[in-house]
Amino acid sequence: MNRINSLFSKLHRPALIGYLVAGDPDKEESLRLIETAIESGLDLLEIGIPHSDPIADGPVITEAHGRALSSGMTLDGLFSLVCDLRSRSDIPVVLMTYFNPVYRRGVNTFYEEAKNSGVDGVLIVDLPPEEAGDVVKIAAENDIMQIFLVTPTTDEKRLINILSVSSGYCYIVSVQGVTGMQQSEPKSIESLISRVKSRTKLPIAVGFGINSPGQVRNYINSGADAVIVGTPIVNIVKENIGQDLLIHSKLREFIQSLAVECRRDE
Amino acid sequence: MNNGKFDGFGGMFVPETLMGALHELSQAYEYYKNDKSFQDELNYYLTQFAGRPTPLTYCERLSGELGCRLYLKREDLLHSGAHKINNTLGQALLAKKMGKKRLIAETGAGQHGVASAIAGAALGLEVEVYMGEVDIARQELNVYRMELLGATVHPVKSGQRTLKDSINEAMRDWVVNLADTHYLIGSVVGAHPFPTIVRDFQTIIGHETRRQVQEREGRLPDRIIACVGGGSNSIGIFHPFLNDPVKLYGAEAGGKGLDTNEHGASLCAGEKGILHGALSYLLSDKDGQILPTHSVSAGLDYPSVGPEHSMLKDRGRVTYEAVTDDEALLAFSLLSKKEGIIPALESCHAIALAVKNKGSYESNEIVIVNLSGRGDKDLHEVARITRGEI
Ligand SMILES: Cc1ncc(COP(=O)(O)O)c(C=O)c1O
Repeated sequence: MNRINSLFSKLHRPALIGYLVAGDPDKEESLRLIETAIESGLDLLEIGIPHSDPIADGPVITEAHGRALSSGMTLDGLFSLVCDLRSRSDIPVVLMTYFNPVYRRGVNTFYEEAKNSGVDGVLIVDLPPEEAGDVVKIAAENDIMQIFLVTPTTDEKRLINILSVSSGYCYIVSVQGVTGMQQSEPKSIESLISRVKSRTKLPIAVGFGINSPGQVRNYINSGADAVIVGTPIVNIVKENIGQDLLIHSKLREFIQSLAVECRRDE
Repeated sequence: MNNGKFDGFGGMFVPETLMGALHELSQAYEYYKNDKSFQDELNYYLTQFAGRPTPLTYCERLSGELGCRLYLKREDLLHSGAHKINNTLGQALLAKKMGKKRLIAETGAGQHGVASAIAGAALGLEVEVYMGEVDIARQELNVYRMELLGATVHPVKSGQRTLKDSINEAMRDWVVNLADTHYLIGSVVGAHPFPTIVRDFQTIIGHETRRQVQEREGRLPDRIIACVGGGSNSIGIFHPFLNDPVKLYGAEAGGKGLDTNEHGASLCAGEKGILHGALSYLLSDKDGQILPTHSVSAGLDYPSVGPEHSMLKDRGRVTYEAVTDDEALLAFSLLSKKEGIIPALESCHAIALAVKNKGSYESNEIVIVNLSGRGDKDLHEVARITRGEI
């Protein structure tokens, strides 16, 4: 079974998903940071493929993409990083990417390489279901889950359409904006979560703008099966670059504080 | 509309957060494009405010030199000094009908920013413009102009700090402020429905040209030449002639030459890829990272191109050629000295292509160059380059 599906079928508590950018601040340190994050309590890892023009991302993650590219991160480097990680950990791995890197690599080649290096899911930020026909098919052929975004502005018709092509989990964007922005009213997210739940059996993951244990708790109480934390993790990397010990201890401390909330009702 | 696809190019490659806004815009546009009072109002602004129709000027001296009958479509004479205002008046009016209070725009040369600021001021909408720091430095006068017109200019410090990066920032702003904001994109680029909307607002150039050349020459032209950045002035003049036996030429930014990697010629030297919501020819590396571009003209300094041009290239309907910085600069002084018209550096690429084709013209061949803008904004930069000063 795909690692994402087996995670959600076995886990009887909310899952903690963390996002880091591959190659930030460089390939070796990035792998070490990922391992620290996993040890600190992540249940699923989202790895951002750095892009020159990450239009859905706010300043913190955009800068991280820039750092990773300047350090020489490439697609080959990314897949070898995932291979290295796979030899040490069984955590489900989702690649979060923009479409052009996938398109230029060739969709077939990209998914085969992803499969071979141990990737379990792919989320292409700027690929809505209308444009995703071939990609969804190729992902399925490679037993890779194709994850899509649902937002507060997604209407009923689009929601049905999105869910019909989604696998793995449904990613609810909690803010109308870019990554790293403050979250919107918990009430409106609660109704969005229940709206999506009424239409799918897929686990619901909520992300964008989550930066404290309190918010993790709120979303769990609102019915989320998983919470996704990105910008605050990337921000810890940014603020502590070069401080070898501090960067890892801060990351550990922060992720543990979130993981506690996910394990509270165990 | 054709679902936003031009033989497979174009589309809506945007994050889900923008899909609702794009659908809202599509629906509003589908309604208003057939609404007579909307079209009348737009026509009022185009004629009584912006100065349409623009003349079709016969170039006596250059015609003799090139061995053809050379005409210029004078978009440089429009209010604001470039064709961009055809589109900004159209979209600003549409935004107002949609109940939006705020316009955001990206700008490279500053012409689209100025044209947006003008449209906003005239229609009572707030305007904020994203502009790369590099472009701010080379188009300083336009920054002052925008501010004078009441717009706020936000310097963009990310990426290469030119047009592409300004579009990124405008998209990030839009996604947050969808409710009260319209993204007034400046060319036939971006996700559906933008390439179609902008084209439709710019085709007035081609419709006027067609009428004018018929009146003057009693027939259609043999060739039409326009510069291609995002591709709006070119598609605007080409579109009404697509089904006629008229040869169409697009001049892309050849920068320092196609062999140098310092250019903006996505059609001549790019490959298919996705940027800013559309599949089109694109300058990106094998990992899909967008490549840096260069052009002496800020308005052509863009790594992709409108999807309809990609279709026209693949169909072989339009011939796209690259024109270097040096060729464009020669055209700048040529048109100034021979015809008394100082052209925008962007438009110089089209003039240079007309000059390059010298020798291939049959006598009495009618050649029309779309003079997309005037050169006042470029005086500083050209003086700096050619005299090494100011
Ligand atoms: C005078 C002028 N011509 C041409 C362009 C290029 O844009 P497009 O290819 O959309 O006409 C610009 C863009 O700023 C411009 O200012």
